[in-house]
Amino acid sequence: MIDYSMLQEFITEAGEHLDEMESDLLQLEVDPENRDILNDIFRETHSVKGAAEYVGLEKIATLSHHLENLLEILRQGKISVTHNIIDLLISARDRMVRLTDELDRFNKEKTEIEDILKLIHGYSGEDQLPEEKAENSTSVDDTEPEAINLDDLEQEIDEKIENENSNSDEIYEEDYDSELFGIYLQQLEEIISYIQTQALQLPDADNSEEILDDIVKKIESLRSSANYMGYESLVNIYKKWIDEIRDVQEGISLGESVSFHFMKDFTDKIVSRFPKLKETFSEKTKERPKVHDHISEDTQALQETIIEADSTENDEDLDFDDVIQNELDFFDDEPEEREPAATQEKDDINLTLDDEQKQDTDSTFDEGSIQSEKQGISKKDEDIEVIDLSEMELLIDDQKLYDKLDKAFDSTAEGLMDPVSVKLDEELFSPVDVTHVDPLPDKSFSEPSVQNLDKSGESVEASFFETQTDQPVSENPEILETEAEITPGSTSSEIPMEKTETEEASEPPEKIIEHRQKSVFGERLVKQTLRVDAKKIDSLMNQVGELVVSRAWFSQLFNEMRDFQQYLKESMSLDKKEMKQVRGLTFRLSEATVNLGRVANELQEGIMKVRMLPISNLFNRYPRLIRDLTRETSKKVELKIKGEDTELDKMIIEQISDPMVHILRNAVDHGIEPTDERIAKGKPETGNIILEAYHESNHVVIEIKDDGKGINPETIKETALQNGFISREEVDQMTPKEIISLIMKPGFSTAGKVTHTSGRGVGMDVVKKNVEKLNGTLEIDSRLGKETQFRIKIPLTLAIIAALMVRVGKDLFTVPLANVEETIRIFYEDITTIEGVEVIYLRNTTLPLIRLSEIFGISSMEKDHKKAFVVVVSTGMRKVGLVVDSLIGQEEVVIKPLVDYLQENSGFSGATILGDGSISLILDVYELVNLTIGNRLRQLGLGTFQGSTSQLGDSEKHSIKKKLSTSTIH
Amino acid sequence: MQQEAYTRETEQVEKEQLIQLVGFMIGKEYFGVDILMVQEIIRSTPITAVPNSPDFIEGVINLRGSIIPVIDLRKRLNLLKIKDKENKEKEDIWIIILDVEGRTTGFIVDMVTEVLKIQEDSIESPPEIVSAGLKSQYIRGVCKIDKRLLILLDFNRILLLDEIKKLKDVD
Repeated sequence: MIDYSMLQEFITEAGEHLDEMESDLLQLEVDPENRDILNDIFRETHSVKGAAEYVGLEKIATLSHHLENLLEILRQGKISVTHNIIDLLISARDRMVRLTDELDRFNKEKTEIEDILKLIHGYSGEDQLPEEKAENSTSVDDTEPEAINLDDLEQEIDEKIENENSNSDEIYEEDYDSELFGIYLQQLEEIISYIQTQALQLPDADNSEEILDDIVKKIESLRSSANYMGYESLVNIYKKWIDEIRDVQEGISLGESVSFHFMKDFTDKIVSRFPKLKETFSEKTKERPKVHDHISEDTQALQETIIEADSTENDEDLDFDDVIQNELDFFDDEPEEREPAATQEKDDINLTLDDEQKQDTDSTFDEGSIQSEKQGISKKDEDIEVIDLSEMELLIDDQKLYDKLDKAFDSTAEGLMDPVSVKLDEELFSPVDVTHVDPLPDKSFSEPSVQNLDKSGESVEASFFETQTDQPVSENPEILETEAEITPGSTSSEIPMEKTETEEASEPPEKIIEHRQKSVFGERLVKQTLRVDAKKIDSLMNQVGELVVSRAWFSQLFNEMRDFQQYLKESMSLDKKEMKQVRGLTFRLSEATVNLGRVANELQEGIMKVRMLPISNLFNRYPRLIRDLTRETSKKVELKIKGEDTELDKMIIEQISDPMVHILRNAVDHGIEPTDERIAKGKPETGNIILEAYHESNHVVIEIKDDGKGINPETIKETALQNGFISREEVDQMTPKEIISLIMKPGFSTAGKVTHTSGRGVGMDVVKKNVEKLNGTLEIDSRLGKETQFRIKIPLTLAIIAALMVRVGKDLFTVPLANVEETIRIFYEDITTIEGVEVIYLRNTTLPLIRLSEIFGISSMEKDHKKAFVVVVSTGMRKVGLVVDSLIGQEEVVIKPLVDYLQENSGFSGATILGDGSISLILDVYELVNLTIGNRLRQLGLGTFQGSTSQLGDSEKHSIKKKLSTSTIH
Repeated sequence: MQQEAYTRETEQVEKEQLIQLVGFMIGKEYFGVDILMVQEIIRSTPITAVPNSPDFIEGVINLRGSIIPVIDLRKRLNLLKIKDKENKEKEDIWIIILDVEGRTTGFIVDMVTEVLKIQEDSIESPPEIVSAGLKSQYIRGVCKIDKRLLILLDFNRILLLDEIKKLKDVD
């Protein structure tokens, strides 16, 4: 069953993981030997799997599970990473993306995964029967310090263990130490992973009985080694497991259909008992500063301590363990005395508790406090068994235990134990509590713990995260309540104080610093993010917009006040004393306005930052694109990314993505030459495409540069002339840059000939239009044979734009500054008419004019009939002069949408509210020009359509055609 | 039997339900709109004209930070103008802000009169021709109050997008 309430959450989360996975896979392709990348991919797969299982998405879970198995094999180095495997991994990843996509759209997984599974099996299947010893030598986990320098010993002991060695007493005396434990773990890991791969075959295999027999043998070997280590409860689990398998075997022989799911349950159960193993089987990352690492650190350290606790040695390091062990024992003994029956209970909750407790035990203890403990606690319980810890935990789900523990807390607090022990006791439980109270991120609950508990708080988060992704804990309402009661009261307020005391008392300064650093580091690890509905932010943004408007209003009030002051002074001839008061008021008003302005500015910036995402979100999509594009060609292309930290409004990121794809595709297809051609030209074999982003005042500039063959202006010129885009006179006046810009003309590239000769410009008009929609600009620069550079300049945000206010009649209109080239003052007598179009000559070119008063049907109120103001705007290739009555000034305005029926084809892109509350319409220059052309044609009559279009750009032509066709329909 | 009686009874109750209307005048015609649709009624606010829009769209207003279109209901319904009143209109207008299926829109009327309570069952389906050239397609129903005919308008129909767009294209 799919848990639909979680689905959206899953889609976003999985999407992120899959994105990361993609970039990691691409890295892996470059660096196939890199273990760290492989580990990252594994971790990402695992996260997806965990989440998918939790939500109940069968296909994604299965696919990721099998993928995980394959990755595990790769990780162990049994198969080297080849291109084929990377292709497979990528296609598996793509399939998962597709499945999540389907979930998003249809709420179910549609696409089949069998084909990919088959392929994965093709690889993972080869290694179904690995040799044990080979494994031993190859899969030494370098994160296990115990296992490093004892190869010989390891071999020897492994052999003994594998032979179901029964003379364990002998070895026990010789090697009962951390090394042994390391070896034990390693063996366990190998066998478990072997069993896992075997178990996966089971459902499809014909010889399932044989496989099961094989597995039983392995389990028996495990059982004997567990026995040998003295892990009684583990032995019991193995026993049960074997029984279960025997049952199933019986079922098979009787021809019944059987489920093999229990195999996984058991392996999980066992793995979860060993934090170290769990790490290996789930997250195996050390590099990335993520929560998982925190856990691994904890677990690793803890592992060491547990191991050492078992030994009888008496060196300094041992104290730590003794303390833990003591605490644990203290816990152990008491409940067990009263509640021995519960020891055998084994369910998932307990096992998880077990783990997390271990982690937290570790994280709670810093060395300093341990040292202070050192004297207090004698090393008594030397025959402690690690397993006690988990056995004790088995009791946790019992309601009564809490009472007892509470009592234990009380008694310890009264001085039976050291304060630190108390702290340990309580904290032992707090993280678990959080985990159980709610498997979803419950901020209100986990946050206080995080803050107050400091280090242990971090592990609260850590363990919490762990639980959520790895194995969703089945909720037990009873537990939830009690735990919720215990945690906030007892742990959060008192403990940190005690902790600080001990720290200060015992830690040398360096250690404190070290500790602090660690906790700072830790905070970064659990950096909290909040998923917020974009609508909420939009609405906040609107409010801020209002504030900005109010600010303008206040400025205006201040101006009015100043005028009024002047008026009072001059007309009312107030005396100095009276004037002083007025001046005081004016001054205070000015101060208040400035203050409001500052706050409004900061708030506006703050809200804008919320919407900002690093552009890496966008750039990270492209390495894959380049890879796919170059895969079938003989070209070698390297994509270099710079400035990926530059932040940009999320909306813009979404909208700029496709145009960028277009440009990049062009760069690969037509820009970069094939390898042999490059060599012949003396260029480096591998072509470079550089993607760079940086801020430039209120804009973000994205540059896409390739060192390919460049664009030949001559070719462009000729095709432009051939296709009648431009007249020869015009071309002759154009700079090479302007000529190159012709490829952005609509329809320029659609002619087959153009595409073949120049190779550039397929749909560049669309790119340009998209960029302009964002109030951005697109420039192209190219040096023939050397490079081509696209420069996209876009505003930081869509909601607020810089604009030029103009007046026509009594109405104020807003022209986006991005469109404004310049403003000029003209004499009416300079205006000439060419084919019914008013133009002026501006620096040797003709500039068509549009009288806003005319097209808006507003009677101009300008008394000066000699001069007029012209705002020169550019709409891509075309420059047009807008004739207005007067220029008001530049302002930042908040764009508000108009109702759709007012906005469509109206020449307005929205409206804005001015300081005095009045509304000003924002001109959509592009639309406006189209509209005007339409009007002119109508005036000229449709008969002259052909003639008049010769001087129009193609976009205009298109729009005219569109207009004509729509009007005939109605 | 019992069942039937019960149904009849509930029907009765439903029929007896009162609905509240905001009554308003355009010229001499008397109109009503369900009070639940009415967000607010404002008087004399500056209206910014939108060039190139259909003539019945008077423009947009700033309603506490939101930009809301205002439709001249008289023009939209093609009601006859009373000439001498037109000059007055500009200074003294009423705008009823309605929430028409989530689209907040202002409608200019001559005068808002009162809030009326009428019984649901007193609403009759519109006659073929009402008066003043009003098309019956915009009418939800009519109802007689004090010998006057109150016309309930169907604002969903009035705001029908396709129709507005078509009208715009004709312009």
